[in-house]
Order: sequence, then structure tokens, then C-alpha cells
Amino acid sequence: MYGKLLMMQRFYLDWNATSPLWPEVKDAIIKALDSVGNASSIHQEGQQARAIVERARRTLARAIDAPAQSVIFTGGATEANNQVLRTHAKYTRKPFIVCTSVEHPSVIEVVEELGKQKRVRTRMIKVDRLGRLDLEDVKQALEDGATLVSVMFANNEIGNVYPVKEVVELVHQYDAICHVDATQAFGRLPLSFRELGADVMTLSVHKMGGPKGVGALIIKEGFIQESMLAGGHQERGRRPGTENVPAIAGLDAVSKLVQEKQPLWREQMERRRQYLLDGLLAKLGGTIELRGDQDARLPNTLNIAFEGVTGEDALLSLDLAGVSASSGSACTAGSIEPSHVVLAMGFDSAEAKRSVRLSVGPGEGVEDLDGAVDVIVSNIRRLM
Amino acid sequence: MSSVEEQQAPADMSCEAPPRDQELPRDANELDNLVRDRVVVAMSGGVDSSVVAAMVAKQGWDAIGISMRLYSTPPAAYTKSCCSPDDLFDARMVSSKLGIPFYVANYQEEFQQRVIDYFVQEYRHGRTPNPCVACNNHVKFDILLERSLALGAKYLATGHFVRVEHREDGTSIMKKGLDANKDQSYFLFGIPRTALPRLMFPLGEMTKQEVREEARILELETAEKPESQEICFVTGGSYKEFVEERLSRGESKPGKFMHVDGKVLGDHDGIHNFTVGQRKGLGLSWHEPLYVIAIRPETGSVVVGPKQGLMSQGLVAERCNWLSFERPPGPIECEVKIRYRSKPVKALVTVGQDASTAFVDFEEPQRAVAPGQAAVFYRGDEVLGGGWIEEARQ
Repeated sequence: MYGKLLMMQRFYLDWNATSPLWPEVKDAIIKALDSVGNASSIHQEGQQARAIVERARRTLARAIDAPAQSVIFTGGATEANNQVLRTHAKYTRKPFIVCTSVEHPSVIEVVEELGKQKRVRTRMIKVDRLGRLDLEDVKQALEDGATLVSVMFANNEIGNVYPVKEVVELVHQYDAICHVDATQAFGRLPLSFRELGADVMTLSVHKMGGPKGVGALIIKEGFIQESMLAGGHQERGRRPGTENVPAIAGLDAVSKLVQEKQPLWREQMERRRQYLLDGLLAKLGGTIELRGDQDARLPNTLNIAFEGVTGEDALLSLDLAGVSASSGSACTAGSIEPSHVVLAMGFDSAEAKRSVRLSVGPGEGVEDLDGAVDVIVSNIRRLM
Repeated sequence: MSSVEEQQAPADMSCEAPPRDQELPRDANELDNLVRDRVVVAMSGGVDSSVVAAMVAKQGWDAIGISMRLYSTPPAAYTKSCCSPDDLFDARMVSSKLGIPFYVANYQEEFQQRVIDYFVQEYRHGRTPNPCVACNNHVKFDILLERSLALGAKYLATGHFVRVEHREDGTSIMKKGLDANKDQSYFLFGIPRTALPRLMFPLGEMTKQEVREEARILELETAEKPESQEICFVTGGSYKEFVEERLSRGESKPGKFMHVDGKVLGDHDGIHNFTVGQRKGLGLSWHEPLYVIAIRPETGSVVVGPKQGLMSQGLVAERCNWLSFERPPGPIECEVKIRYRSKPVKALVTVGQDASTAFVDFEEPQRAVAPGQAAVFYRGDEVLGGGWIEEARQ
């Protein structure tokens, strides 16, 4: 290794991309790596693996206030979102799929692709300059015959929290199906599947200290969720394929933590986010523009534009100085494209390219963020 | 519900400092001291820039690899050109092996405006563009250099076969690469003089063969990668088809083939299909071989004639950039290169009031001086400067 800079103190402020494993979660995964059985096998090894999977199902269900039998494990939220949308398009006579224009790409891009089929109608619902949704637009789509409405609980890029409960109620007035992508809300906001009432909810656990590569579909009683894949009876035929037992064990461990600590985590993240923002405002003041709805938002997300600095420049400089942040979305080649979310809010490409997302995790204190503030302030000043 | 005291931070990646040997910089001044010896390496994913990254890193600089994403490549053409995800992946792999940070800079909009649009525009006007020069002038040694300096780099290093000598008085001069066969100084005449002190060309003293050997010794993934050829953004098909696709309706300029004697020889379907000096593909039958002598965009005529009609006594170059001096001290005897693959020839170069226009008189008449190409001035190995050919003078 030649690079000295890689050894410097790091400040990880990209929890909305993914997050470090909690020690308990890491231990659980390591332990489960010793489980040799296929959870479908009838022998002792198989039974041991099955026990891990079924325990995780119950733990996750408790953490999100859902019946245990409603949980279907998948390979992640992207897969789960694909499954909901694709099976709906395939097994509905006249599908009309509606989503917001700020959904995650695993929703938006699937809807766009499905829309290319003649028999599938689609609509993207616009948002305002703060990224807010107008329920009247949802209502209009339902009036026009929407069969499925997909709306995210909270946005990964700007942190907006959407009025999902109201959307669900509205959708149900029209006998349509409501899908809620709760990936960014899991572990950060109180989450009750029973109260929410959605037909199907999707999530993953790696944004809050859980492992990557595992997610879940949460299905309301009576809602028929078809499988996207064929070739196995696992997860009651809804998700064929041998279960990823170590990842599911990690999901079990993080779900347990979420059930105990979500309210505390929320307070801590709120405090840390505010501390970070105050630190930046104190030193960069009027050159900072906050994006997104500040009245209904995640406790951990800041989407900031610094005057005269592109997100790409900011990100590179910050990374070299030890702060991990994000901006827009990385394409296959690794270059940064302007965020589709910020574009959907009505910012032009140049404005959108200035967005920098800082997302914190929970932690006891706030003083450790002083270093991050220093790095951000000095680098942004240099780039301005 | 656990108390705050019991709250455990996640492993490894919290904001807690990792264990380290020495105190790391915390404030901006310290950071500036540290980054003083930072070097950005422009990496294309090819063998040349991979070796540069390795050399720079080995010399103890804080190397940072940056690849420029200049255009999107259709998946079918991924392996054929640089800038495809495969090439960026190669650059990333090399960086990771060297342990240096690597980033992709997105310059697609700028490349479109400054290189591709220019390329099409020049053909539209019956000229012969040089997109590599345009890319170096307006992308690599403009926005990438600016970006590198903004990142606190002292130097930008690239894999060009060219030398820069930093003199004691703080000025720098550019010299041809030592490998005469690979010398790329022709493409670099447009670098601002003031930028030279910030550039590093570690391959300038090496031959291509030595570069490959170095890559093999370092076991770089790109050691055996074939050379990239042709125009990087024209993937599949010819550049003529590329230009044709991008001419909007009515922009194609069909017209007549005119013999230098004034005789009309036939019709052609657009001046963008021709280049000065071209012989093949004219579709004319005549008692002697015919060459494109000139293209007249105002009338749409393509002037053709026998070989001797191609000879010019001199040329006028505009938008000149001088590397060795602010402006030439007077008429200068030097050598001029009018195409990448032609030998420099003796000439007298005179600038008028405005140093951005150069009047060039060849010692011996030269063949096929093509407007749109670069004319680059040398004195021995030293690159004095260059400009864009506006007209050939008989």
C-alpha cells in the first residue's frame, strides 16, 4: 500500500447507502456461518438452520409489528420491490402502476421498464420543490384507474418522510393495492405494519447495522403475493432458493436491536444530525442550502448544496480528507450522475449536481463529529 | 430499553478514530501541508497511464487515480474503446492494486460540447478536425487539471509520451517524447503555458516497449492490453457515418466536384465526406488520379485535381498557443508538423500584431495541408507552440 491518505481518520457519514454491522449482528452472522444444514433438509443440521430462519422471522415481525407469517425473506429490498411490481404487472388483467418520481431506482426503473409493455399503464407522481407529494395527485391517479400505488416510507436521498398511512387509506378507498418501501425507515422511525395497513411492504436491514444481501417482503393477510422466480418451495413458494442462513441470522440480531433501541437511536441520530448541521451553519452560514422537507424527515439525513461547489468535487475532496459522503447515484462506470430525486424536485442538472448527502448513524455523543465538521468546512472553503 | 451508557457503537466504522501510528492531520493547515505532494494521475484504463500511476505511487507521491467518463458506450462496443465500464474497471483494479484512491469524473456534458460537437461542426464546414487535440486542450488540461488543483494536487500526471523540463527560474518547456515513434507532443501544443509547471509526464523518457515491460514487472492487469486506435468515441462504423448521423436535416451540403481547371466533374452528397488530400472514394473517372485539393463550404464545391495541386508553400494558423515564450520574439526559423504522422519540416514562422495568428512559410512545398488540423512548431526537441490550420497558401 502506497497511499498515506487511506490511513487517516475516517468519518463515515453515508448510512443511507449502507452501514457498519453492530457487534451483536456480526457475532450472530459469524456463529451462523457454522450452521451447515440446508434449512429445507430434515436432518439435524437442516433443523438447526431452519430454527435460525424461523426465529428471525418472528423477531423481524415483532420489530415491525407484523404477524410472523407475513414475513417472506428475499435477497434484499431491490429484489423485493422488483417482485411486487413485476408480479403485479404480470398477474393483473389491466395493470396501472403508479409510483412517485422520487422512489428508489429499484421501483422507478422497474415501473419505466414495465411501462414499455403495451398492456401496462404507468404514471409517476410529481413532487414539489421540497420533494413533497400532493395527495390530490394520488387521488387523481386512482380516479383514473390505478391498480397499484407504490410509495416510499422515507426517501434515501433527501430524507423526506411521506404520509404513507394516508396514502394507504386513500388507495384502499379505491380498492387498489398499496406497496410501501420502508427500507430507509427500518430502525429509524416507529414502524407498525399492522397500523400502516399496506398490502405489501418491502425492506432491507443494512441501512441500520444489519447485513447486506437479505431483505423481506411483508404481506398483509389475504394479499396474494406471487413468486417472481421458479424452482423451489422455500418461503412458501414466494421466494425459491436456499435461504442465506448467516445473513438471516444477522437480520434476526439487528431486528432484536431495533425492537429495543429504535426510539433511542432516533433521538441520537436527531441530535447528531443537528450537531453536524449547526457546525456547518456556524462556519459556512449562508452558502449552505438545505434540500428536502425539513418538517417531515428522517432523523439522520442532510441533503446540502454548497454554493459554487459540485457534489463530485466535494465528494472527492471529502473522501481524500477522511469524510465519506454521497451525491446522486453512481452509474455502472462509477461516475456520479445527478440525483433523479433532486431533478424530480425541479432543480436543473447543474443545481442537482451540487447536492451532497450526509447521513449519520446513532451513537452516544456528538463531539466525534467536530472532526467531520472541520474537514467539511476546510474542504468546501477551498473549493468555493 | 437500554440506557445511553449501554449503547454500543457499531464496530470499526464509527466516527471513533482507528488505531494509528502517528497523529494525523486535523486542521486545514496541517492538511494543506500534507496534500502539498499530492499528484493526480489521469487513468484511461490502458497500459500507459497504469504504469504512470504505479511510477508516481512508487516515487512516494500521494497518488490519486482519476478516470474521465466522457461518453456512454453502447454495451455492444464495451471492449472496443476506452471509457467503457470495462476500461474504468481496469483503471480501478490497477489503483486498488497500488493502494491509491480512484475516482471517476463525469465530464460527459463537457466532452459532448467541446469535442464531439466540435468534431461534427468541423466536418460540416469541410474541415478536418483533430478531436484528440481538442480533448487535451479543453478537457484533460483544462477541467481535469483545474479539478486536480482544486483537490490540492501539486501535479497532474498523464501517460503521454512527451517531456516537460522544469527550469530553475520556475518556467517549464515541453519537449518531444524520447521514443520518436510514440511522441505525442503534437496533441499537446494547446496546453496553457502557465500550466506546464503543474504537469508530469513520466513516460517521456521511455519507449513503449519499456512501458510494457514495466507493466509486466509490476504485474499490472493492463500489461498486455492492446493499443487503443482510431477516434475513441466513434465505436463501430466509420467516422463518416458518425458525422452523418449527427448532422441535422438540411445540414448536409451536397454540391459539385470541380476540377482545378474549373470543369464540373459531377455531384457529391455532402462536403463532410471529404478531406483535403483524399484520393479514394471520390467515384470520379479521369485520365489521371484525382485528389481533393480544397473544400469550399460556401458553395458546397469539392475541388479536385492532380497530385501537384496539393502542394502548398505555406499556411496560416489561428488560435495559436505558445509554450516556450509569451509570443515569438520575431520571425522564427523552426520546424513545423502539419499532421500527427508526418515529419516536421523546416519553415519560417512569423506572427503579426496578434500572436495568436502565425504565418508559416515552408522551406519546401508541402502536400495536403488540411484546414482544421494542427500545425505544431518545434525547434529540435523543444515544442515551441502550435495553432489550428485555417488556410493553405499556394
